[in-house]
Amino acid sequence: MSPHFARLAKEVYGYKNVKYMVEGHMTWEAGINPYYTEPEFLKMAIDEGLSYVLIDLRTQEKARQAHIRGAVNYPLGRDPLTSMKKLDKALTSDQKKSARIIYYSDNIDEAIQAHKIMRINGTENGYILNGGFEAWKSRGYPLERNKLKTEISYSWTPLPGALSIPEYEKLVVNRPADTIIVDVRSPGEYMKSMVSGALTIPIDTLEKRWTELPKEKKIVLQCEAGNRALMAWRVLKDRGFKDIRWVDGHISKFSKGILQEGAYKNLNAKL
Amino acid sequence: MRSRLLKAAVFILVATFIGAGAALADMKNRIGAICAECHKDEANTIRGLIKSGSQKDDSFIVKVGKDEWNVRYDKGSKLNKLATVRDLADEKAVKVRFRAEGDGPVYAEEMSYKSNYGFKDPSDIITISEVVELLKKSPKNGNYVIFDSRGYDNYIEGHLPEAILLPNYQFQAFKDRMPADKNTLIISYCRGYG
Repeated sequence: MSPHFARLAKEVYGYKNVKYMVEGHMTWEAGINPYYTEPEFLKMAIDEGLSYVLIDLRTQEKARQAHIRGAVNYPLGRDPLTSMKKLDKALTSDQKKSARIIYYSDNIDEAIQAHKIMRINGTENGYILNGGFEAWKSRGYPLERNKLKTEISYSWTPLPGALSIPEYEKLVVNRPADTIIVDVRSPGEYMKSMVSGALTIPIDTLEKRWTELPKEKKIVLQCEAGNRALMAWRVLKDRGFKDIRWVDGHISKFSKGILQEGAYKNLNAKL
Repeated sequence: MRSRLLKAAVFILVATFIGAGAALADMKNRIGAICAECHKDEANTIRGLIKSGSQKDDSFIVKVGKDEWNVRYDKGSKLNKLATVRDLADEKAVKVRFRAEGDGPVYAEEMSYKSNYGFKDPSDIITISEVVELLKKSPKNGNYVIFDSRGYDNYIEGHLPEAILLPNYQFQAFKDRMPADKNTLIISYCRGYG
């Protein structure tokens, strides 16, 4: 949808120099460019019990004194290559492939350096904690003392509210009466094919139309790739909805028959 | 300015004799600047953007440049790439084939919702390596901003260095994050396929 943003910025808001990075977020990291994770995400991960590997790159003394929960300490020190070799040995090949690894230090360049070395060593899912330890502290988020972990463990956990494609398909095929499926894609998309009997509320109208949804029902949000469904999840969560899930996966992976052509014609759409 | 005055004078004259509605429709722009890159101006056809918050059960407003078109619709209005008028989102592009009716709003005989946005000009695209190069300077020193067009949760989980959250689909709520300087280089990105 970014092309529309570019158009809006130019035509409506008068910006003269608008460009679109068409390769997108998912391609960025391929060139070992780091992703930055916000302290808000790490806080949520701790609160919701998401699995993560957290690397504190500061000196042992500093790290022991005050650290973020779940951190392991691998001081980057004066010889980063050797320090990161130790970390590399501590990770299993599975962890290198799939574990969410977050690096932090007092200064962001150290975290970037550590990430780059580890990326070359073959870790695939690394993040820089944006603003480092200071950003965490300045938000007043909790600190721990002397509770550094000594072993690295990781087991994949879904994001809050995430529903896998198989779980979603079960709900589609055998839908409980208390569950409402909402397709948040645009008209051009759902008019091709959609889950029969789903409600349609395009994400860009949801901030106004969320009142069409009953709060007491279970709500499942679906889009094309998961991003818009997640966005909708946040909108509804902020509006006090309790039981909301979003489909985390691309519709190209759906089983045959889940999406039906022309199903929109059954919508109770009044003009 | 002069042509505006002239148009206004003509308007008053014509309105006196023929009726305000038809004359008003004749004076206003029917096609937005960017729409005109690919489409031609056509009689009785408006191409513009839905005015934020103007969507009602029986009408909405289309903005074409600085002009506004009040459009009335009912069950007789034909819809293309649109199943229900409730789906019309703020500032999205729409085409309306209309019939002028007296001095009130125009009536939509047919509406098409633009569903496919693309770029015609390669200079609208910036590559990852160009962004990496830009990042050697701070946004302030390089006079650029990078907007992450995805949502809040995608953003906090991981984003590009220096990127600011500005979700496409919630543009109205976030638009005060746009820079004051209209010459600032604005870069946006979304998910992409990696």
